[in-house]
Amino acid sequence: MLPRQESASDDELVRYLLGDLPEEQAERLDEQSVVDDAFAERLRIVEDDLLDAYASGRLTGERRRRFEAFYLSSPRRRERAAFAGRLLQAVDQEHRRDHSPLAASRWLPWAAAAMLALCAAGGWLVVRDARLQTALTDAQARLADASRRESDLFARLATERRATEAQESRAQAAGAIALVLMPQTRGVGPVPLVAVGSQSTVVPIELALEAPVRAPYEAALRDAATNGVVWRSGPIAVVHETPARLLPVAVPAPLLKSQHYALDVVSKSAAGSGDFVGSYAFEVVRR
Amino acid sequence: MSALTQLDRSDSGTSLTAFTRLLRWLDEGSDSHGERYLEMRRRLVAYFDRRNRPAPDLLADETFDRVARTLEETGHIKVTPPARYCYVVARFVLLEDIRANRRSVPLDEARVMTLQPVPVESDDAGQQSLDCLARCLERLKPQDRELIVEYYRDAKRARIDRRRALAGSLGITMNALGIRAWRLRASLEACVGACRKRS
Repeated sequence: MLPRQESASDDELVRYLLGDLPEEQAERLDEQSVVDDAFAERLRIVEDDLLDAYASGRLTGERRRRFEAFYLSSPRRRERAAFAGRLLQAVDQEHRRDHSPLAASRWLPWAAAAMLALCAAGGWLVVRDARLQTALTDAQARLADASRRESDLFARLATERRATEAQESRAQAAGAIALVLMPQTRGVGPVPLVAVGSQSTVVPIELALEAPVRAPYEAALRDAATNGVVWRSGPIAVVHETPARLLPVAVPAPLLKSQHYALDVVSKSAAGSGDFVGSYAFEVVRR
Repeated sequence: MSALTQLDRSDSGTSLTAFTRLLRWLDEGSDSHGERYLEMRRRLVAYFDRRNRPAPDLLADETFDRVARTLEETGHIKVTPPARYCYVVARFVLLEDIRANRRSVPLDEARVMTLQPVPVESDDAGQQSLDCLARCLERLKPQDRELIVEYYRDAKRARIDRRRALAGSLGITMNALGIRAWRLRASLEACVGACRKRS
């Protein structure tokens, strides 16, 4: 559940849709429009009402000018405005058709035929009624039995599902820990130890970046003994900004032996060359 | 039709496994059958469109591709709810798209209006759209068709009172009625779009 934000008025939402809000306010509403379910739904309703107001000629003055200058500047929104006009036209036609005297007369022959059929079927049904009553009692008993069995099955299914979910969340929690490494400095300090279990497939590591973000990055795993590169990550575009600038790297666990390694990070330019960003040393202990 | 059958990501850089992981992450433990993904995509497309980007659909897909890559590389994303992380990534995608088109453009310039002549739909195209809309309305369940007609007809002041009465007769709030009407309207828009492509 999201923390409740100060609710925007309909007028503010209309100004937002018309690109008429200060940037800071617009950005706040941008975020709400993606993150907040209730806000997203309300914004759509306000937008539809705005479109209907324009299509029906109720939007006047500065608002109408703004609508035509800003809102209609996008092909997608133009299409929505055209649709609003057609929808109003179509529903008014539909309403007139359903409520015209002609509409009632169209149904009269059908209603008469239905009445006749009902009378004939009614007589037959009286005869059948007694026999059906017995069959109905049997069927109800079977239905009640089936319903009981279904309830039992649902209860079992719910139990199984809860057990599976609990198992999955335990598994996820176990895999959701990442080691944060700081860049290597000249000072002599303890090298971080990474314990790798025999069943691990990936070792998640987050590398703290000191320089401003210049994604995409690439990380290379270097064997400290031979100085050779044993693995490369490929381009990494996303950097977690909070609580610090952290570059996530998932190192394949089977490559790692009990020894020292370093992760060398370069920032890749559009031309494909790489600028060295930092080196992150660590020691692996296999369990 | 299940929402999953509407998901076509063959044009994106996201593999099937990564895409499945993305769907599960967006669902946060429940199974929406792809509905949550479609909803988030609608929101992102609308966001980029409000920022006047020329290809909002592509930018929404680029956002999902980046999120999927992060999930694939790290196995998890700490930021919650998923929609908030999608927004953070979308904002980067927006800024990069602005920069790619023009160097050093501040974010607020993305909202500057671009005055363009509004193309007028030809009579033929307009009639075709109306025919499609009539067909799509016919396909709705009778109670849904009645709801949308009552909700949108006669765009005057009396409409508010009529909507209030409609909500009362259905035993729901005005807000719930608005959401129900919006969903029907969205399905009609999609139906008309598909009908026009076929015609």
